[in-house]
Parts: sequence; C-alpha cells; structure tokens
Amino acid sequence: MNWTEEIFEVRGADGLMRRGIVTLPERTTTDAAVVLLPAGLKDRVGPHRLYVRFARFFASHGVPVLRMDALGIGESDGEFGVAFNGAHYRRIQSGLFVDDTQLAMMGLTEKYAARRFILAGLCGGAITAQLTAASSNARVAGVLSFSHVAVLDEEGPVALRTRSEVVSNSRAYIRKIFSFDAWKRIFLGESSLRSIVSTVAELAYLSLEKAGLVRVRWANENPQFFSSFRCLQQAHIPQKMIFAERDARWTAFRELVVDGFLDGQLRGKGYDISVIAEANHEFYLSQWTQQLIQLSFQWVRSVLNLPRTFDVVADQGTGNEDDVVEGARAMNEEAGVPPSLMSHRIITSIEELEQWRDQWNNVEAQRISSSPFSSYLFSLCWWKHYAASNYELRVILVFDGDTLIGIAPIYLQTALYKLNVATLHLIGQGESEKEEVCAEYQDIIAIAGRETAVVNEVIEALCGLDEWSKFAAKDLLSDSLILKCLLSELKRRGMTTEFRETGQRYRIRLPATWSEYLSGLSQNHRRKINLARRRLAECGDGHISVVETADELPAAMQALAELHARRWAQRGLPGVFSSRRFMKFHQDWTQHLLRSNRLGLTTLSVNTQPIASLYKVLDGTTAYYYQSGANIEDWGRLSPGRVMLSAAIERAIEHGYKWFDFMRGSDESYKSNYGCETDPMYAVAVFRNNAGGRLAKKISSIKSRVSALAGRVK
Amino acid sequence: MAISGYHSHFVDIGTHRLFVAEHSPECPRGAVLLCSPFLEEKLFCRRILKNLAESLSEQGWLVIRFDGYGEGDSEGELSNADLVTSASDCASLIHLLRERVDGPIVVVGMRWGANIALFSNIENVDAVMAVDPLSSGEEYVQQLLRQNLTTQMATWGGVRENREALLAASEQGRCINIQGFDLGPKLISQMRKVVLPSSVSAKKVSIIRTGLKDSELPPFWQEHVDKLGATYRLAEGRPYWFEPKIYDPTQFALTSVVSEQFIEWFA
Repeated sequence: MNWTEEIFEVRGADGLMRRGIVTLPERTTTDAAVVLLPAGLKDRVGPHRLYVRFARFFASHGVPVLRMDALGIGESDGEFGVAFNGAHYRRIQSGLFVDDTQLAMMGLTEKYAARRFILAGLCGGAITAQLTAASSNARVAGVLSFSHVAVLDEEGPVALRTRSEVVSNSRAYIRKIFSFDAWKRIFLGESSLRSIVSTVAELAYLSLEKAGLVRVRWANENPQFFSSFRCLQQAHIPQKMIFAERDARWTAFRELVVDGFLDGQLRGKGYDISVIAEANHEFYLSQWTQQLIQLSFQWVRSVLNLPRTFDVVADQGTGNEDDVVEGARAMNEEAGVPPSLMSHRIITSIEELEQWRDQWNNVEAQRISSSPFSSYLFSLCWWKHYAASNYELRVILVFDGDTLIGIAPIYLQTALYKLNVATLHLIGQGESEKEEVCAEYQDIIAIAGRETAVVNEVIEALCGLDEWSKFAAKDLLSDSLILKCLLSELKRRGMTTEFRETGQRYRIRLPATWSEYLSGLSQNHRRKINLARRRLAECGDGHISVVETADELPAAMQALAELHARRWAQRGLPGVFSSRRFMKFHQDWTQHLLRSNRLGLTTLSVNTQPIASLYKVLDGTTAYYYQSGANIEDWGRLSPGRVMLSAAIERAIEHGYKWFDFMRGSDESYKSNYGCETDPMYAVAVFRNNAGGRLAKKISSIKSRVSALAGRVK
Repeated sequence: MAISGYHSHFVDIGTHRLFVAEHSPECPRGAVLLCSPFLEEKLFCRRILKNLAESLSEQGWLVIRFDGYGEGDSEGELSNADLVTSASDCASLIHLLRERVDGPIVVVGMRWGANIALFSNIENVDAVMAVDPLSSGEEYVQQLLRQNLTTQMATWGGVRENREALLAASEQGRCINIQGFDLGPKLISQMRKVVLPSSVSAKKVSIIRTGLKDSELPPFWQEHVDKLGATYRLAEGRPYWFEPKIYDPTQFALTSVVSEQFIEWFA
C-alpha cells in the first residue's frame, strides 16, 4: 500500500466544519490535487465506494485526492432540511456546494501546499465541479465529470419531454398509422389523443428548431451549465466528461448538449467526451469502474503533465531482465516518477501461461470490446488441440509496474519445409484450412485507456525477437489495434506490410422485441420465416432443445457434426467436423462454454430425429452464430436452417443481447437478408526486412498470383 | 485521551484500519456502538445515524460510528469480507470502549447492522438495540439479488442471470454485484445462514421497527421478541433506508423512540 489517508477538516467563516478524507501518495509527483465532490446527497465515499477506489488508485500513482463532504453531507456540519430530494438536487445543480469546494481548495493549499486542482465528481458532483471551476479558474487545471447533468431536477413531473422522447413517440405513431387496431383504440378513447396531438406539436417545434428558426427550451435546461461551460472554454480549462451508455442522463445530455449545443461533436475546444459501453449511471460493474478510473487517470496525467514512466525494454534471453527493470525503477525514483513501469514478458510454455489465467481474464474484462476468441479459455483450448511440434508459444504479456495491462496472444510457427518461413500467428489462427477454427475479431488485448501503451510495448517485444520473418493475422476488424496501430509502426520501422479485405462482418443490432425485428425485414424474407415456422408448427412433432447440462452435450455435438457434414456432402466436401482435431477442440471448448453459461447449442428434432443444429457462443452483449447444420435432403420442405436461425435470433432478443453476430461472410452472403449491419474485415501480413522476410514476401506474392490465376481458370 | 465533541479518526485494530467517528460528551455515563446498515443503505442512513449519535451524545453517552472492513473509508475490499471479520470489528471496538468508560455499553444496530449486533453476541455488552433488523440473512440475500436483477433489467432490458444462476456462480467462487458492491462467495454463503438468535448474552434487548401508526407486530417478530425477552417499540414512519422521495435526515420519531428506550433502561 503506497498511500495513506488522513481526516481533512476546514472551518468556514460561518463557524461550521467541512470534513473529508485526503488520500496521500507515498511520494507526491505533482503540485496539484484532485477534489472529488459529492454525488448529489451521497457522501465522500461515493456510490459503491467509487470515490474511495478512485482516490486510492490516484494516490498510488502519485496524485493526492480529497474526497469532500459539503455542508449537510456525510461527516460535515450543517443539515439539509426535510424536503423533496428533487428540491435538494436542484439547489446542488444551481451551485449550492461551490463555496464549500473553494474552501476545500484553500484548505488543501494551506495544509498540503496544493497549487492546482482537478475538480471531479459524479452527477451533482460534476456540475459542482464545473460551476466552481468557472468561478475560480485561476487555480483549476481541469474538470473531470462523470455522468454529467445539464438539467435541473424538479419536485414534480417534468412538463416538457426530451427530444428523444418526442422523436421516439413520433416514430411509434408513424409505424402505427395504418394499423386498424391503433385507430380503433383512438376512437374507443383507449389512447390519449391529447398526448398524440402534443407529440405532433412538439415534433413541429423540433423541426423548426432544426431549421434554426426557434430555440426551444427542453426538459429543464440548467442555464448555468451552458454559461459555465463557455466560461471554461474561454479560460482554457480542459474538461473531460465520461458517461455511461445505458444512463438516461447520457441520453438527455447527448441531445441537449452534444446535439443541441456542440454540433454533435464528442471532442472540441477544451472538452472531450468518452462513453463507457453498456455502463449504468453509477458504473456498477467493476470493469466499468476500472475503465472510468483508467480513462480519468490517463486524462489527468496529460493535463497535469505528470512525468512519463521510463519505458523498459526487457532483454529477453540474457537472464538480466530483472536488472533492467530494477535499473529503470531506480532511475524513475530518482526522477520522482511514480512507481509505474512499462515492461513485458514473453511466455513460451503452456505451464507458465496457466499461471496468468486470472490476470488474462481480468484484462479481457476491462477491454473496450471483447471477443470470445480472445479469451484465455479459447486460447488454451486451441493450443491444447492444435499445437504441433513446430508451434512455439510467444505470448507477450505487457505490464505497468506489477499490473498486467495487455496481452498479445501469439505463437511462432517455424518452417517444416524449405519454402516456408518462421511466422508469428495469433493463437487460434495459422492451422491448416481443412481443420481451421475460424477465430475472428482477434487482436492485441489491452485494458481500456491503455491501448497505445500496450501496443508500443508489444512492438518493442516483437522487434526484440529475431526468430520470426513474417507476422500474419486475419479476420480483423478495422478498429483492431493490429490494424490501427501496430501495422503503421512496424512499417515505420522498415518492415513491409500488406493488408487486404477478407469479407464482411454481418451482425444484427437487436431491437427490443421479435416483432420489431421482423418488421424491419423485407416482406419476402419475413414471409419466408413465418412460413417456415408455420410449417414446422403444423408438422406437430417439431421440438427445439437447448443444451443445458454436460450430459446433453455429447449427443448434441454429434448431431451438429453429422448435420453439418450432410450439408457439406451436398457440395462434395467432407466438412470441417470430419477433422478429428477440430471435433475434439469443440468438444472441449463447448464444455468450458457450458460451464460459464456462454454456450448456445440448440437442436431441432422432428419425432426425436435431429434435423438441424445451431451452435452459438454467448459473450457479453453479443450472441455469435458460430456453426450450424441441417438435413435439407429429407426435411428441406420445413426449411430447418431458417427455423433454427430465426429461433436463435428470437432467443437472443429475449435474453437481452444487443447484437446477433453472424461473423464473417462474403459480399453476397445470405446473411444480408437478416437485416444486418456490415463492417469490413481484413487480413494483414508484416514481413521483416531480412532474408527470411524477403523470402516470405516473395512466397506470398507467388501464392497471390497462383490464386488469382486459379480463380480465372475456374 | 477522551476528546469532547465530534472527532473522526482511523483506528488500527491490528489487521486493518477502521474509520471511526466519535461523539463524546465531557463525562460519558456509558458508551454506545452504532452498527450501520450495509451497502447502499449505509450511504442513505449516514446522516440519520450521525444525528442519532449526536442526540445520544447530548444525553451523556460516548457514541462511536464506524465503517467495517471493506466498507466506507475503512481498509479492505468487500469481496474479501466475511461475517467473522464484521463480528471481530465490533468486538475490537467494544473492547476499546470498555477501556474508556466505566458505565454500561450498548450496541445499537440498524438494518443489517442490527443482525450483526445480534449475531455477534459480544460479551461485556449490557444492552443490544436492534433497529429494523432483517428477519433472516436468507431473506436479505434475496432482497439483494432482487436489486441485482433490477440493475440487469435497467441496464440490459432483460435478465441475463437469474437468482439461481447468481447463487450458483457465487458457490463457484464468483462475486455477486449488488448496486456496484462486489460481495464475495464466503460472505454470501455466511449471510444466508444467519437467523435471529433465540438468546443473547446482553441482559437488555430491544427491537425497534419502523411502521405506520398502530401497525401490529407480525407474529414472526412477536415470537422473537418473546424468545429474546426483548422489549418492542414502534417508530412511526416510513422506510428510510433507501433513496426516499422526501429526504429526512433527522427521523425524529426513530431518534425519540431510541432515546425513550435508553431512558427506560438507564434513567
């Protein structure tokens, strides 16, 4: 523990004491301090101890933090009267705690010689921070707000609706314009005509506002928000705003401030907005909290110009890595740099890798976007079944101090014959095509906010390894770290790089209900789905079963393999399940998935005979459609594939998934019938500037030409 | 050294530091240990307990409030906490109070803090007052799981893990997130086993429940009042331990009822 905590007290001119807790680093690296301000009526601890975690993290990285109770809050003197919460919130949003915050800054200057301040807080704390900074800008270096609020709370119901409510209601009315039932409800008085008329009028206002003809006040705007925001911009006080995607406050803020005031820009003069995916107002899940703290620290570090950590390049293979790390640590300590060191370690054995299982999962949980094919379990499973005698692990672990912050899950495939070169692949790729697992969306794994640091360290590690000539990765998304950062930096270092599009990711952004989903499909496709389902229902003996226990798994896997093989047999091919290795891999992996409630393996049977099977991997917000099979020869009239797929989508909607991901497909894929959004996917290759690299490049070029020629011949 | 008035500080009890707030009169006639509610309820009740402590302090009692291991400003993480640590935190603070005052020692617990006070059954305590205790740990865990489901519904528009799945995950070693707090498997497992005791070592026991005027004591509670040989009092009012529409940090009725019980016991 490299921080301590003390009671903080400062008495105001009114004779009342304001109290808080100050968390002090063992070694302070700045003349600034962060002041965390009360989230509404919640005290210095913050919801679910968020402020405590924040303060201890910052202090352990050299920055002192005061968690303050304003008058009437927590341990401070004073008292709020008995009143509606909304009334109290409104007073706070109007600047009730500004004087107390200024008093706290004075106290910090007197007792701890703090000269500059970052004012921070959640919700009510955010607006207090902004209003205080606008009124005492000389000493405020920046404002850090979480779930900011630009409206004033009221005791009663809000009279005016927000823009999104008006738009959403209008859309619903338009959808129902030809609905007989909807009109019937209006005529019977079951629907509020007044509400409909009011929405239409508000929509008209909205159109006028969009045309720049009027400026409508919506949903209790806080006028002080806008004036203080401009004031910070003029005074060059930067503001970082972090929001939670699933927070109603974010929806309101986006339409009121981002769309209505900042031209829809998340970054602009003096401000920067980040949104943590899926999070709720108070960032309940630990990964959201960690992302919030990491993003905050990264921003504070740049605003306060905190000394950068001395980057360590571990000297692999010479046995003196610890000396290098210790040397860097000593240099950092001498320079007053916080005890945070970037370093890496290369794991070469599975036994060693197994020791990092929990930390790997921890990093994966803190990524901005995760993928089941980057998980520890997937990698371990794949390695167990696919590692050949010429495969050698080279997993790069990246550390900040002692904390694992990133992983490059790669291995080296050495040459088995002369016309091949030592190639680095991502674990899950590089196996022969006839038994390939098709791991997609793989990437370098990094915790949110540390991506650049992780990629830089991975580059150092790759450059330090002299045994590879080519690095190959495929089925990457355009925002992957490999494509975005790694490729350009390796090119800058003299290596040859190439990338090409391999197809499209097809995925459905799932609506709230199945009927809403169906209504978005083409009439033709909707009819086909309904027809297929009706036929199955009419056949009477159709039944879809879901694997829920380990006992049910082997039979369901066997059915999948057989049905998949049947489908491929029609094309005169054996299908990938004919590979013993592929089958064993999936038998193993599905067991792990089942244990962690992430397997979606379903079988459609008629009269107990399996006629279709579908294999999904469930992960976070996404259901990945991985594999399927169907007996079209005998049961084609029931369209078993379509029935299974539609049932899988419906099930994903029912379980609250945000995406149904078909994974990669070609440009003309059947997947496009299902209302998918598409994103291009890429394959990349990096060739070293050495003999092996040049040979690899040559081989790659020949292969491309042969492939193109073969295409033309076909 | 006793400090008159309000004083907050950290107390090192050997294994970890606890945040402690003291309300001390000039010459205390006895001491009171206030055990707070748990999780987010604690946040909503902090001012109520502070005002209660001030009221008791004005009546001559040295009152201390504290954050348990992994809670509030104290050291540790809830994911590593368990009931043994909670009981030991209380016992350590009672020991410190006993060294400082000659008079009686009373433990006043609120909500889950009341269950902890009864469950801990600390020796050398003269009286225990349980304010709005939970009927059992299992019932409380179910309430907490409901909060988790509510969060899932609000965040994802549906339940991804139901109660059974959450409890199964806990049994397999995973934390359960309740309004942002990660509760470790050990704590959950222990909480589920907590029931109201049929006797405690303190000679005086009181149960106070908040309810509307003329609310009758349900048979379950009557039975436990009888078993414990406790007195029962009703504090007229509405539940105050979650974010209320009307903010009332004074809870006048509750403070009055607690004071009346103190007067009855120690006048």
